[in-house]
Amino acid sequence: MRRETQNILLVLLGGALLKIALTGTFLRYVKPALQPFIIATGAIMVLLALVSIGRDMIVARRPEPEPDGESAVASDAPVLDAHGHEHGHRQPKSPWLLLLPVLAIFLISPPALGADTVNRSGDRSAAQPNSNQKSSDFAALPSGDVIPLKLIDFVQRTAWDDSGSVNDRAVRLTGFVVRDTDPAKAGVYVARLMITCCAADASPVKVKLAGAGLDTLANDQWIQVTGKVEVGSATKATHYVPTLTVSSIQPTAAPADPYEF
Amino acid sequence: MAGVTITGEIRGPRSGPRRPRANRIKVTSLEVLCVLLVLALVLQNWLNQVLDVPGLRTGATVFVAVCVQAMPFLVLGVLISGAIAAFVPASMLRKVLPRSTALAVPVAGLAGVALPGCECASVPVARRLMQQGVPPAVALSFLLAAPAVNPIVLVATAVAFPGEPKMMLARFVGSMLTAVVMGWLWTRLGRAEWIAERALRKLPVREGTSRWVVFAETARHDLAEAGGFLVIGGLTAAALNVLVPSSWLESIGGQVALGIAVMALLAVILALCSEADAFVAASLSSLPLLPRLVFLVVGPAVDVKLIALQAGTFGRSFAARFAPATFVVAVCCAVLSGVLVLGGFR
Repeated sequence: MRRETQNILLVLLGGALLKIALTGTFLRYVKPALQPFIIATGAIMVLLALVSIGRDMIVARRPEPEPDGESAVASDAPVLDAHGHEHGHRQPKSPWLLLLPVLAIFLISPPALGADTVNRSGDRSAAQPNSNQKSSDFAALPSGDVIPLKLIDFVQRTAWDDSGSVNDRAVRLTGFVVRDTDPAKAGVYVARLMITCCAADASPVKVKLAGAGLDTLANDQWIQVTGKVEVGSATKATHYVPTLTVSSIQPTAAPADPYEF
Repeated sequence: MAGVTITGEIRGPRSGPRRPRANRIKVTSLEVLCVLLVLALVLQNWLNQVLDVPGLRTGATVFVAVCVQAMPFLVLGVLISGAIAAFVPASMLRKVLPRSTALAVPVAGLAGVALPGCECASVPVARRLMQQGVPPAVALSFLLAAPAVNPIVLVATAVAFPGEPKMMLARFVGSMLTAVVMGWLWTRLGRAEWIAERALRKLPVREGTSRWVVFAETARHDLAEAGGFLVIGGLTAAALNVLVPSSWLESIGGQVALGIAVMALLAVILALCSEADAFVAASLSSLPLLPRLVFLVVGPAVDVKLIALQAGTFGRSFAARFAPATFVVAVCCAVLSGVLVLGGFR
């Protein structure tokens, strides 16, 4: 592959990284803390390519005797090479693959992970028992009629908070709908995915919904659901997935950051 | 690209004498790229329809995620590799490293502590080290140690396993042992000809070229080439992420030996960033600790993303030997470290 083509691909890929980092789309793929690094990466890619393009243009304008008569910009490395004997080497083909992430970002713009990932994850859950954790490690919940809680906090408390701090409290959870068709755990769930670095390491956290009005919910629809935990539902037998007795469900827009941390 | 003749560029090494260019229509990679871009734009709607299957969408997201997450580390790696090529003379490296390779191997392993990146960063760096005259065994031991023993990864491990402070130590010991053993093995058994000649070839430099030009050109060249291989790794990881059933994990239960085998394989095919794998290992709480330690030691040393990068950088005949050997050594070192540090099979 020619240098020019490589440079164009690098500009495109750098541009794609800048685009997702600046528009916030990157939150579908990686954790928020990576934003400055993605911007820097995109900028460096574009810069390295532009420096190379600029030097090629200067070299092309300056008439310089080339021993074998080949143009100085014809292949991968000759700008550093005055003798031309490197030209017979195989040029790398791998930069062609850089086109794939570029096309994926600009044309397809894959959505955040959702119900499909939750259903693929089986019984894996991001909520983990912590051998050091006692009920005293859970901070007291704020007062109020309805408490908004992160899904992961809610599940941790239902499963491992011995003091039962969420029992008899109305909570509001935000997540997307997952319909599980597996007969062993069939039902409608509200779920979020937790990531630590990027979407490849996502693990689900989910709450089973019980109540009326669940039949119309479709996979991946974002909802705010209010209700109370069914006490004692998060046990080893249910893989610590609690059940929420629903009092109201409202469709909502997907949040800017679809993942929990 | 089928059906397009690309004159003078995508030429195999044994393609024989050059055919005269004049009689052919010259299609260069630039034109091919333009056609591909136009085609992609025209077919955008069709592509989006075809890809509108839950599994494919998930795969596409994971693919972009792996690429986006790994690119910063790769850029860090190529900047360092460019700096080594431009500013670090071979004589300096010789002075810093012990003369005997057997001693230099552990030193290089410990030097890995200083490169706070994941595995993608260390491949281009190791290659430039070899170019500057560092013995391959020493550079390879750096390559294996750097992603696993740097402070960021160790702290992440400690945070992920708050109830098991020994896990961090066990991971450090297992990974360092893997790097050193592989370095020594390469000293005894490794052959220089396994490493592709192009990996050790310096970019041709004209006398008097500015060091900054060498720096920028080396970094750009490494980025374009290694970036492509990273994409292969991302594709493989995405495909396996979707295809490997989670029932693998559920079937293990408490069986340690089976767990070790499955977790070692998972580490290879999931290709997680070494800064995130501890959290994934922690979330697999139904497994004993030892298989999870194996997962943490094998992952940064061998995974599909890394194999693709190594095959691209050092050549296929290198990767075909190095990756399986590292896999076996890493599993053994992890088990040894687990038994010693964690105290038995648990």
